[in-house]
Amino acid sequence: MHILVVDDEEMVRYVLSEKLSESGFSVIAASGGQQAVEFFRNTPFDAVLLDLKMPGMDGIETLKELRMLDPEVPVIMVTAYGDIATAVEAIKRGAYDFVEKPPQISRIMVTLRRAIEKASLEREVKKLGKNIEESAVLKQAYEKLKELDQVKTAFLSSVSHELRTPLTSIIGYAEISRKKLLKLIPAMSDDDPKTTKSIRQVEENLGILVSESGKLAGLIESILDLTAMEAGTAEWRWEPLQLREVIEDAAAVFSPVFKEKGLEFSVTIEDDLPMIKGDRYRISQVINQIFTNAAAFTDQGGVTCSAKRVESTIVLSISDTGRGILASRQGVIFEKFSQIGDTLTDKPKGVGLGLPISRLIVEYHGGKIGVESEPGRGSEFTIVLPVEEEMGI
Amino acid sequence: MGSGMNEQGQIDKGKALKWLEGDERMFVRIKAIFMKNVPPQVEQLKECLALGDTGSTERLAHTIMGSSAMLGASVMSSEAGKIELSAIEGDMNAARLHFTKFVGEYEKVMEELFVEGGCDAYSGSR
Repeated sequence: MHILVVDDEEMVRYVLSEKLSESGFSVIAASGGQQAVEFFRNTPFDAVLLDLKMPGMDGIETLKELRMLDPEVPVIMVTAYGDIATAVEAIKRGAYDFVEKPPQISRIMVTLRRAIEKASLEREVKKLGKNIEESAVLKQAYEKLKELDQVKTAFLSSVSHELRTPLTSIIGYAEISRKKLLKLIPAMSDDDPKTTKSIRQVEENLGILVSESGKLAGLIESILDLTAMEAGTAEWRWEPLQLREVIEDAAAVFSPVFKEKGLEFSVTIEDDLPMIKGDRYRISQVINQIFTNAAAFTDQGGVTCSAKRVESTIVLSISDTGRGILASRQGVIFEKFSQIGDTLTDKPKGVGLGLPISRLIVEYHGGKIGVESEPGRGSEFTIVLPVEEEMGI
Repeated sequence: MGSGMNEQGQIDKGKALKWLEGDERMFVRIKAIFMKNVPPQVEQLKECLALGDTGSTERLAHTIMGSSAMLGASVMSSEAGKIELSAIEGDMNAARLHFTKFVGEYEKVMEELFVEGGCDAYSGSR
């Protein structure tokens, strides 16, 4: 701690310098106001002991100069013998306190330490105030962003609803037209092969229309799903679930898909797997999504699925020997509109809502989802779900 | 005067040591500072009074008052205080009257210091 002692009396300067130094302070003494200001300009001080009545620049003038150089450093006036009124005036002008002459060392020490502590606290408070101010700006910006996000979610939801209705009609009419054409084709005469060929072509085109419209409908459903989950309006049907059943149902659906691609598929579920509490449809949505990705990105090798209890959780792992995911994308695949795509070339494919929806579902169940992957070797998705007694839902 | 300095003399050593936290070494040092600084200040004060310089009279009387108080020379300090007060009030006649009494006290203090310290530097101020 650096203390500046300012007094025209050599005796005071000597005693204060000696005693303060003995107490561990580093002291510089000035014999007048002008010298004090010079010292103050060149050296940072933690506190100043300033004599009130001095020849030349007196204590009040010196205080004013010091305050201009540093408004925060505490200044303690040292005054003598009935000069209290001037000392009070000094306090009004920013001095921290005053001590009377002859200066009682113990009182000076206490006053000095309090002054330094107060100045330090004031600096902290000021800093904190600045932080709070900055936090308030950040909070305001965050609220604004949240508001914009809500507007976007509402917009997406509204547009998706509006798209879904006509799309249902398109799919329906295309399907009906296709079926009618399929009925017509066998009855057509072989005498007019050109017409028959044209009608077959129309039927095929309608098939593509139905198929692509179905994908579009799926995308709209995904957007509605995601927006509803984010807005907290999604419906959940909580029930005690045997995860084994959900896995086996999904495996039954995907087994032929993997087989058709020439992939080996195995499922290993630990005996006596405990129940979880959850939404059967949503959990199966997650497993189906990962199986879908495995089927889409695995050309050889196989897919394995396993489930086991680990402490108070069930760990479900789905591994494939597919193309894998680039390291640069592994951190973002659970983010919205971040497609897995062609994971080797990093070229996007699809809109990237399946895994973000899966993440929301798993998190809504109090669980976690993650992935480990190596491009060219495959991926392993891990879903950790709490067992029923741990959930408290 | 020896140890009589404490009770019967002009200088209350006990009082001085109280605020010096019993530091004898420091007391010796402040006596030396007093003997070096105060005589020329008293000479200056005498000149200022003669010139009617209230500002300098006030300041010098204040300084001497402080130094003598620190030494434990209460009566001398009190007399210097009276000079200061008169100067503040602009009554230089009163200040001069107080100075006469002050000088008497000052000489007693210096004599005591001189005897105590075996110092031959003191030559008086009259």
